[in-house]
Amino acid sequence: MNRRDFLGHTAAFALTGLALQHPSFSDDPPVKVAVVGTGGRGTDLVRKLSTIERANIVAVCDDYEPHLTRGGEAAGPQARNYLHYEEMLQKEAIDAVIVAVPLYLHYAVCRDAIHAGCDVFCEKTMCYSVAEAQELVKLVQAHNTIFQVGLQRRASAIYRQAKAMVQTGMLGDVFSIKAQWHRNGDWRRPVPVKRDHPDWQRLERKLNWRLYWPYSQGLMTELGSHQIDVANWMLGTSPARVTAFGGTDYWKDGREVFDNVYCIYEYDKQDKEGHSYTARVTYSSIQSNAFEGASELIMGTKGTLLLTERTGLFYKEGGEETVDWQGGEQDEASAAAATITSGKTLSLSNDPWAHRGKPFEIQAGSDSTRDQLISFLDNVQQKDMKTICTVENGLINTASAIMANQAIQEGRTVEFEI
Amino acid sequence: MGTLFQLWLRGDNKGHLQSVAFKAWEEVDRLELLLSRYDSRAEIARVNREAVERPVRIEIELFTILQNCQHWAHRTNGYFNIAYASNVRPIGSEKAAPFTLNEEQRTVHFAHDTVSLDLGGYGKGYALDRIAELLRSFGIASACVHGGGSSVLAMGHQENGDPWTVDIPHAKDPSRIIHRRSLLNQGFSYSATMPDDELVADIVDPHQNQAIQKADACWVLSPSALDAEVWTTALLAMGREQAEEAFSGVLDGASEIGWA
Ligand SMILES: NC(=O)c1ccc[n+]([C@@H]2O[C@H](COP(=O)([O-])OP(=O)(O)OC[C@H]3O[C@@H](n4cnc5c(N)ncnc54)[C@H](O)[C@@H]3O)[C@@H](O)[C@H]2O)c1
Repeated sequence: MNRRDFLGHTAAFALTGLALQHPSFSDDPPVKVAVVGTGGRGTDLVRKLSTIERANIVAVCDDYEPHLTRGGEAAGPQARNYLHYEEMLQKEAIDAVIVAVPLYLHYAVCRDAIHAGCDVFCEKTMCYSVAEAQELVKLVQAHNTIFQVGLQRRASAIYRQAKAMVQTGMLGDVFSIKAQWHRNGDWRRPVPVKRDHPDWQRLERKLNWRLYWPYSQGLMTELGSHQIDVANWMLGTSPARVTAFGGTDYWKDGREVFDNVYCIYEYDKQDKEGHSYTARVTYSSIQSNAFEGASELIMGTKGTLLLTERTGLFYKEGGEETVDWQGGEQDEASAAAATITSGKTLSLSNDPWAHRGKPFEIQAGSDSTRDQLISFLDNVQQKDMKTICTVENGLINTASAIMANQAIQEGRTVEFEI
Repeated sequence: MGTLFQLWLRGDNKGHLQSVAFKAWEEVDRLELLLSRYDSRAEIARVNREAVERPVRIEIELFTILQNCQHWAHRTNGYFNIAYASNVRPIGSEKAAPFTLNEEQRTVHFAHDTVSLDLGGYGKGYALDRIAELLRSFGIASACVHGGGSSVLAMGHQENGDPWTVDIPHAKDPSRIIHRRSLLNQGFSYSATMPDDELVADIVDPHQNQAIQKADACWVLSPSALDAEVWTTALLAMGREQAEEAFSGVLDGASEIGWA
């Protein structure tokens, strides 16, 4: 394939990736939405919902007043504020509930919302435990609830394009994925009172719930779940087993969860001829160095995708086709690449990307957090249970993320079981 | 905003200051996704894509910002104009408004397909004011924060009790410091036009619709970093002579203008 052919085949993503298509239902009344948990994420969701015509935010709820006030302001004057979600579910006629409370409460709020007859959008990770996730699957199925998990990369034009590229074989066979979310920070929310204040302990647990095991599953559910979902989605299956290490090594500040995790996931796959093989995914999340940030590298025999929420880059693998792929302008990187492909020496360039030539860029085009909400509201209006991230996807994602914690805690390889 | 922000915080608990600093950076990231026209995911980028076709419903915060920008355009005789490049043809003697806001629907609608909004002369100051609010809410009384070196906000004092200070460079020779000002719970903004280098001639006279050609620099001290930033942008666009005539050194009583 030469460059022209290549571009010809892929002209559709020359600029922006594969955006979700939203049918418009101008005649349908707007969906009456309520948001439970207007902390950091919940308020973001309120802000996004406030820009979507088919959403009518009728209520917001948070049991912490400062967050409730902020959420209410972002929602607008038509929304009523509640401190208790049970009261809200009782008093309001709500079509869909958006759940953005801490992880350990996801199941209870989803369950009660479903019992109240509402459709549900639940932030990732869907549940604190696999058992809860399994219960939720049953509930959703029994009530025909329209249910979506907030893994917004599923709505991103970049990731949707990536999935299409993997599926059509543009990357060749994918044996390896490398993903990480690296930060350099304490991952703490500031507590508004001093340490010796009688409320400090309570507020610390309330605001920094993600640092303590009873409420959180740490880095794997707060960050890793997004990226393990990408791996599962790209590989088209769930992991078979994982081995992992981690600890609390840098931030010795009283937190319980790990501040660094390193995992190797194995996926049992079969090629077209029915031969089995194993694909491996390495994942790390650390909090003492932010160099690589958050990204996923999908490594196929014919090409590599470097994915972030802002841009996706496609690099063709080196080999005979590389010179064609270079095409047009001879900038420094492609000149070096041309030299390499004509068989001289790799050490000509110290740029690890140079021999791959110019990457093909995929743009986000829009905000995936907003797009996933529009998609959910479409499903609600159409009464279509097949959302872009179903409760079954949520169960697999929960199990995939948590099994790494188990591997670390028990010091063994853990098999995927649901 | 594609700008480097730096923050100095004073307090007696390092851990607390650290978490507050990270919270401030989260706020900068959040505002970037609201106000950056260069990031296709940002709210303002969506407006620029869609508001030509139809009225676009926007977040309450952005709506309030756009209302405030209209107010500033009025207050600066049109020299502060976030739609400066939009080239809307004059209708009669009045220029048509480049965009209209509908408060009830909370929508923005562009008048013309060349309209595009750029909050580049607003975002840094706005971000600094939001950061100051956040710092106060977590009990921090002394801090200094800047965006890109040209927008500064100071609260309280330095460790030795001295006020925070900024050095103001000469417009044509930035290595020459011509003023040192103390900031007493104030915002500061410095803006310069450098016509030698087209790339940085980023202040545009909205009435002529072209980049300012004369080398000039102006600074404003104000209780709010946002006001300071908006004023410097507008005053430079207006040009020194006209600005001095119109505002004679004092803006709203509390602010101060200087030319470098
Ligand atoms: N998809 C994403 O990119 C993304 C990003 C951030 C967070 N999240 C997820 O969103 C969820 C919330 O995270 P966050 O960062 O916003 O945390 P947060 O602590 O800022 O917000 C949680 C809010 O829930 C409130 N809350 C707790 N118990 C409640 C109750 N019983 N009733 C009502 N409100 C209650 C808290 O007061 C708080 O305001 C988590 O599951 C997290 O993983 C997702």
